[in-house]
Amino acid sequence: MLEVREISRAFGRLKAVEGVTLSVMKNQIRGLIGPNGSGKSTTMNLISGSLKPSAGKIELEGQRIEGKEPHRIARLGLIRTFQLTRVFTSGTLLDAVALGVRAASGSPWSPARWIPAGDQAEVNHAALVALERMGLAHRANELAGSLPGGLRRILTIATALAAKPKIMLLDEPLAGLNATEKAEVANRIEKLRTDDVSILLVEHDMRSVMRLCDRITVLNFGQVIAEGTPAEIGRHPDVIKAYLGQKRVRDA
Amino acid sequence: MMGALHRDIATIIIVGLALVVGGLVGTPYILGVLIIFGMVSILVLSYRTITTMGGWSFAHVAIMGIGGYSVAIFSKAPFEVPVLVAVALGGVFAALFAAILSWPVLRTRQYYFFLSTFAAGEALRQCFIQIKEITGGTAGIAFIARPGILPDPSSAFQFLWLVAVILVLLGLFYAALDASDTGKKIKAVGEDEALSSSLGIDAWALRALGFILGSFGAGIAGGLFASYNGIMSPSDINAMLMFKIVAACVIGGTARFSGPLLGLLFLTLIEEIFRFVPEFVPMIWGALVIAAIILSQRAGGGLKLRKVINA
Repeated sequence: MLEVREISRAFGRLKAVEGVTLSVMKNQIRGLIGPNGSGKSTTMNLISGSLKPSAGKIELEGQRIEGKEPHRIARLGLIRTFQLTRVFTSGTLLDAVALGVRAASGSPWSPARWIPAGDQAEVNHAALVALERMGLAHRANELAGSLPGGLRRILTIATALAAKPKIMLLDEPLAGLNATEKAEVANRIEKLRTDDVSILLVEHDMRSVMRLCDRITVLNFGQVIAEGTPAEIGRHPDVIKAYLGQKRVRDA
Repeated sequence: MMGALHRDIATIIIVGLALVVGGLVGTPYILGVLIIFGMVSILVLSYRTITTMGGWSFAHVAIMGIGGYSVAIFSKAPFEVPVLVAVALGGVFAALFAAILSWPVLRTRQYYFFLSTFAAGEALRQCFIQIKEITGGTAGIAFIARPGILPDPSSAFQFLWLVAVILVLLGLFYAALDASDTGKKIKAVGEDEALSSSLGIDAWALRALGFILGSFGAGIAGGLFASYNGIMSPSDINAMLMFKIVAACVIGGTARFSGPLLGLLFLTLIEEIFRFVPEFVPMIWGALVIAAIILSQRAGGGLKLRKVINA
């Protein structure tokens, strides 16, 4: 599905990401973890196109995507979410998700697209399906701006889902949520996999990472220091030393 | 969604009718006020389209000048194009200029966009002054004809008719754009560019398109101004008019199509009420803009004032 090979990126003298290799198989949830500043966010930005890698290659279903503009990568089926919750808040939940549905449609330069096309019902239906999959359909007509934090996080995923991703990059979807909200969002993420969406998950909440992920890649100082199943990662001495410190993952 | 479109269509038709009816019953003075109102309405509606992509341009009046000079130049020898055709050409040239300008200025955002468009507008105005062979320098170009399509080109009332018709046509175009797939994406980019591109929206293309289609209206308005005044000179491209457009959008709010029109109506009423002390009008407008910005901050909506004014 997604193959990242030896990508690197430096900011001045700082090598933020150096020779990172990872892959996400179809219907897999791949975790990407590491201490603060280990290069997780840079890696996400390199894959999604917000940053251009200085070396290495990235393939999405066999197609090279490194260095492409973010919207082109998104149209190929790789949709990311952001660490700081980003949602369209000017309308209802349905309006917000409908923009995800519309995102990939036709060229804006065609004057035929400058007049209402009467496709609103169709778009709304697709948006409602995405909301339903994330359990938000019953609030479709509420204002997106008035949604509490945890649900807002789910709304970002619903919006991304409406853009028909083959793979989603979720950047700390559980950060800042309380325990109930975390469990709710984690459950929704787990369900996505069964709906044919592969996931690359950056997350700090170890319990959720261990539970959700099929395989985990660990970064430190911009390099991959370990890769394996959650159980293997939990036992890995370098991981314990570098990242988990005294936290006893073995018990997790 | 369709409700909003129907409301916008009704708004623009009512404004067009009100202009014509007002001209029918009003004094010659009122006729003049209505013609100016109609032409500035085109400016604020087109300006709003630009703001929906997230940038508040300061080049709108300079780009309007392109329309003005197009009519001044092409309606005369050796071209002698019919005035209305020249007005349309002016819109196209303004849009083309915006397309070229979007390449550098759309690299900037927020305050920097405001500043870079200000610089671009001023540079354009200086071009109008300096390229004397074509533009007539500071004196400008005089004796610009009224549209020959009017039965009596010297009749102000007939000119008002023409302005009303063009305003309604352009208004319908901008209202349709607003409700279209493309218009929704332009607004999405204006709201959150990074989020929009992450979903597959070509943010650059939509920002450019908003700027280009908005500038088209500015060119049309400029052509009408030149034809109405009979003269086009650099002094027509003034900061006061630019401020009036921005103020109308701030006071009326840009979230809705009708907002800037209401804002302009409000400013025009103030202008006319204080006609006997014209030197105070800019001050009152300024105070209103500051008040509107403070109120909108309190309402928590940036420069969206629909809660305050046109709820």
